[in-house]
Amino acid sequence: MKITREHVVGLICIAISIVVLCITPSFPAGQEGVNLTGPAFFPNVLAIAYIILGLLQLISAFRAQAKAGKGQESATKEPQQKRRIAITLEFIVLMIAYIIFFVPLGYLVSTILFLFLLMWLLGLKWWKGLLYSAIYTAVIYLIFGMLFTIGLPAGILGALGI
Amino acid sequence: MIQAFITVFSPNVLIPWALAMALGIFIGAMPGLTATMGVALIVPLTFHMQPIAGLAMILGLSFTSIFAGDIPATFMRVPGTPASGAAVLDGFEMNKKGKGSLAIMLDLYCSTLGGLIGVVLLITISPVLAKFALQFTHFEYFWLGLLGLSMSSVITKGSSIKGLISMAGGLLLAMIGIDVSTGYPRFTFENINLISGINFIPVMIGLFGISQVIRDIASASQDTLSGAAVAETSRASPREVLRVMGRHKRVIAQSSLIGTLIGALPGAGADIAAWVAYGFAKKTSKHPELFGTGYEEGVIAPTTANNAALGGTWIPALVFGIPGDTITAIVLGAMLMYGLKPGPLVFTNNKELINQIFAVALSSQVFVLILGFLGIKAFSYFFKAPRNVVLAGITVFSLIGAYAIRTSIFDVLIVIIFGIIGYFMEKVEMPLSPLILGLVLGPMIEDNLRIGLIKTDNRFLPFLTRPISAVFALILAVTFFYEPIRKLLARKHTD
Repeated sequence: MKITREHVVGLICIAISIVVLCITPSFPAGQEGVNLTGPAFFPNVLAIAYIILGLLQLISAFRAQAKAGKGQESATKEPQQKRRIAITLEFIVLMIAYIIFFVPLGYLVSTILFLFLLMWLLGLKWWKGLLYSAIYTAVIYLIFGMLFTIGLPAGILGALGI
Repeated sequence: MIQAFITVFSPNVLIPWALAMALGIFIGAMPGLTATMGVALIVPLTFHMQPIAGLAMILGLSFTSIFAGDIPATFMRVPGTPASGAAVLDGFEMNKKGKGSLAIMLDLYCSTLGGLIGVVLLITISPVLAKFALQFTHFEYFWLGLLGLSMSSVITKGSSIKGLISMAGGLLLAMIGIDVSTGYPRFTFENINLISGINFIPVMIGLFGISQVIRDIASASQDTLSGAAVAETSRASPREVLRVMGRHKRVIAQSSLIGTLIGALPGAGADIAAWVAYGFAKKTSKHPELFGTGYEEGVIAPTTANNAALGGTWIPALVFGIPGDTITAIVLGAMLMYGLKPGPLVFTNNKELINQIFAVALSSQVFVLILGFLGIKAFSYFFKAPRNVVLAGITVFSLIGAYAIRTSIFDVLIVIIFGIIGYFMEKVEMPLSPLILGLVLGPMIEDNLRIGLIKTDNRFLPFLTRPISAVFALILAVTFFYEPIRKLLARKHTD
């Protein structure tokens, strides 16, 4: 018996509902005098619905597995695919790094760096990447920063007084 | 009404409006950039304008982008927006036959006409509906909210269990933050950012935008789009296009009606409208066998319906304050930010604004025609930009767009988290839009249920005995049980 994606969906649902049901007992009760149902009422209803949905999903996963039979999954991943997964993970890390450095470095520096690294990651030549990064950064700055006066952080350039 | 037209054609409305419509062409024509995402991206900008300018931008952008989605659908077999999914079927086949120009011109003219019919229906029906809706109380709104949810999960393709999981997930997310009735912070884990709840715009940008980027990066086909050639086509004259339309006017009328009605259903939008109109056109056609081979009706039906649906989606949004699709879901959020309370009272308290919205919706159709034509001319340049440059652009616009809503880094984090969640949801074929609807409709359902229960001393029966409530409950029961019962019966027949 192999656990498939379909099973995982069902298991995640059940896990979420257990977490919810563990938290809700700490909520205050509703007020008796005005017949107010407590804040735990609706989350509890949803959690129970989630358990049922999770179980249904598990059942349908087992059924699908029984129907499909066994042994069609190829476990070997091609190097090409591994490379893709690596790039995807790097992309996510890059986004998180971007928001970490967004305020300290400031909008201009962090965005141009982020875009340059991102396009380099996606296989663009460095000088093209630099050009497009500069264009995007400038366009966004003009639209968001200048036209609509949204406070984009100045960061180190601001500290230097530029 | 004339006053309304004068207002909306003043420069400080007209300029952002026209710019947004031009942007809509670009967003719609770019595969991966949906109308919903486009609207989500411009909404932060609109908070700094007068409400009608913001609403004009949203309306205009949605009309142009839903049309422009047909451009890559016709020429590259890639729907520019989900609403153009059905446009691929016959549009691309026509292009293969060298009739791409006729197909895209049909798309343009029929989109405009469909949009116009949808808006006229919106203008004529919604004030009547609004009067009716004024009689609604907590009971009815509770059912209406549930009805909106049920629509989304019943109509979404694929496993209905997964649709429900997605929807209930959205409802659970809506529980995060201060409980309105008691003031108790729920599921906030002592995090200040969570106290006001999870804003659905970053969730949506993440689910639709970033997840698309992740999917494109993760799939090996990196240079699929850069090398796509567009077949040479002979140009279609306006007269030829109009003649074809005249031949199929029944399909146009029928698809406009279907589009508007489906748009008006809470939770169903332009994409579903297009598919249903296509299916209906095929069923009622004299030549159903020609569908899928590059048949004109197969192009006309979906493109008419998806633009007609846009007018339709505004009916429940304006009248009941519940979203007709994800775009109007954002509109409702935006209206609250402008200090407007969507719902039946808008028609009496903000009559001027309603007239202005109607004026914008009508005039937008003329702009669709002009900008759409320019867009078709210019589209070949857009696709010349390398795919990786486009992906980087989507990413940075999504992140900065989320930041701009309330200059919060936390919202940007939400975008990234839901980008990853959205990627995995699509990987397991779980539909994304029910989650958004759950998140948007969750507070409406919960608050109305609990306030209703206060009124009735915790008895549930009055939710069923009020006439309108009873009808809603019945509709809900039918939509919920129709499909399983039909399946059960079908199985009995085959056994």
